[in-house]
Amino acid sequence: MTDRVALALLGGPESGKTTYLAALGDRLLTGELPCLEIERLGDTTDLSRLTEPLFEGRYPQRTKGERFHLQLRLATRGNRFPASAFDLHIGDYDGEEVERLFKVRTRGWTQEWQDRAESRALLLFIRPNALTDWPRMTSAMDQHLRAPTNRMLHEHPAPLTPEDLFGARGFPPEAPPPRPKTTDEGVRVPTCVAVIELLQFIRHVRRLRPGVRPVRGQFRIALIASAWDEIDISFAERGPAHYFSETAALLEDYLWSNFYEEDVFRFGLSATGGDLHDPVYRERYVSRTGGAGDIVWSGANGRLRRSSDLSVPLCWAAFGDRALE
Amino acid sequence: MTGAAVAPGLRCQNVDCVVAATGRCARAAEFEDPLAECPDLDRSVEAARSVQTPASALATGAAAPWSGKPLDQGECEALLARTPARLLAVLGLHGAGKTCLLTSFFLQLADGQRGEFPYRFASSLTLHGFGELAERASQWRGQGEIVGHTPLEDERPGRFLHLGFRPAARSDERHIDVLCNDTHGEIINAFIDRVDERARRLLGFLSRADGFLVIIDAEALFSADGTKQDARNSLLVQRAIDEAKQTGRADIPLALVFTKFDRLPVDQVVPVDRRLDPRSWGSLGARAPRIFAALRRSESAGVRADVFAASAFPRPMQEGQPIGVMAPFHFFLLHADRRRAWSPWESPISDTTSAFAAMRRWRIE
Repeated sequence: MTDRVALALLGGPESGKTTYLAALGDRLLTGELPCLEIERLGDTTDLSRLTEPLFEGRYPQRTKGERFHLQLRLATRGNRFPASAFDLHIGDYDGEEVERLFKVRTRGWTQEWQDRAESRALLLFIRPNALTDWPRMTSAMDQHLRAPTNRMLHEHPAPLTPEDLFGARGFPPEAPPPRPKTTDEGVRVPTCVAVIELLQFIRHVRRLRPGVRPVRGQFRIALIASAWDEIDISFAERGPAHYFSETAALLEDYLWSNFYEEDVFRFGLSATGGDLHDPVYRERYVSRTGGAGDIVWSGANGRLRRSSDLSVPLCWAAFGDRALE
Repeated sequence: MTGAAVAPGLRCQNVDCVVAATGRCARAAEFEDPLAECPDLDRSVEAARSVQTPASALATGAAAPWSGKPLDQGECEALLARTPARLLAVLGLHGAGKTCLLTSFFLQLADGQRGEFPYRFASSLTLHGFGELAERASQWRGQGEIVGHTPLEDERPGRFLHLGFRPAARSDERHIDVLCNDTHGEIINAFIDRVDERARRLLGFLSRADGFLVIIDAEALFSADGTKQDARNSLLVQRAIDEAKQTGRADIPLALVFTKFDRLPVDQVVPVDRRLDPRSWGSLGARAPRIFAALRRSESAGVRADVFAASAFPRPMQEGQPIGVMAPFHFFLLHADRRRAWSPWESPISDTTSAFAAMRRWRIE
């Protein structure tokens, strides 16, 4: 082992961090992840508490009146990536703390947060339902939105793409610009300001002045839209980059201004592959033989790529674009 | 009764109301006997036994690196001292819509509706302040005040909102701090009457301003005291031009913004090159002869003026987009962020060292 990399999972309340960690933990225990394994099994109480509800088709619940910080020690397996070790950090009440830190500034900036700020990469979880305050998409607008995607995906398939030539991303694609709204469309209340403020604090701890981009590869941000299976169909077809561009424009602008393009990537995550509150799906989920859930991202040509390997965001956070190949 | 400590054995369920520095209950003054009456106190036995609760866990830790609230004068001066920040002086009578315009500008940025504005959001030291304004605006349903009036703080110049931008051009690596004052209209009113010691103290930042945004309630010009409004606002424009002259800088931008434009009985698009001509504005121009006359002074004063029409909240924000909000800010930054265009750096190729020149000599010889 040459390097121990710290990665942190962050996000607002109910943003899907816990479910992801539970599903990931289950895959780690069953050895289903091709590139990652548990390096050393420490106290498994918290990990078991997260994963066991999934065996019964339930989402992991937090224990009331308790706060914990989970650290998973992971390592690469196989020879796809250089031998490395990870420390994956997550706190059960991180979501509330993010919101609270934004509202109440006089306390809450704990040493734990400041230590986490030094992580190599942050996996920022954002739940789509939390952002769509006013889904004012008319059917005509849906048509308008879908048309370019349909053309791109079906009518003019590129026989040889930059992706084929230069790898998964080839050259870094900019996130698409947000769609100009019509005069009758509502103004969205910004919902990511607490996350942006947290990123500002983290950059402050790392002594990065506003607008100064960190050294390439030393500080990556994986934006993860959780519950991707519930996403609006127009976004499901166009991918997470379009989704973040239109629903979290301020966050996208902030990341564009403060990070190199290749150090930010956007994923759609469905940790369980469907809604476990739905009895039919729950039945299917419990009786499945392999792992459920998948990760979605956009390639350089805008084509959506999909993988059932839930460790892709972690591997990208640690190794960059080669994890997408 | 002030500052009672939460007694051991009782657990306060409202983590937000404990003053961190002292551990004292911030709601103590509300009750005759806080320990008996405060609804936030959990008096159950279980609560007393519960030591490690989420609330108590969350209450720990140091203060955040900054408050996120609008900057005071000292913080503003500190930022101006350490960065080449651009200061936009926002002036307008009470109720003209200064705070609404700033809020709507932020909301447009946050909603990805930059349009042709050639900068992207990069930072903000007052994100909490913007968040509060946005929250209040989102609760407006078409009646009453939209974001509420800026509080009139005792003998203070008000507060400053901060935004950091990065030019959208990839080749431009700068980070540009922009500060906008959010000053109570009463202070501006007094400033119109006289520039005395108090005005100098409260609006001292005007001498440092990189641009002026004069906000005028267009609807008020059509009201019964429209002539008075025209006169008062023309004085404000003249004051702004005087202040701009005193900065000693050439081509300082002054954007005059007619707000609440959607409520006017006029609906015309004014060509860019005719915006300083009152006749182009139809009945609005006819209602504002003094304002436009004051603007005519701008050219001789070395001020670059332009006129805009905007409506920050033409209807509840869930129901539609604002009108013309980005343009005045675009105009301001276009001038405030203007840089001298240097000719490209061309290094002459030395004949003596160039292989090409050597080859030429060889061929000639």
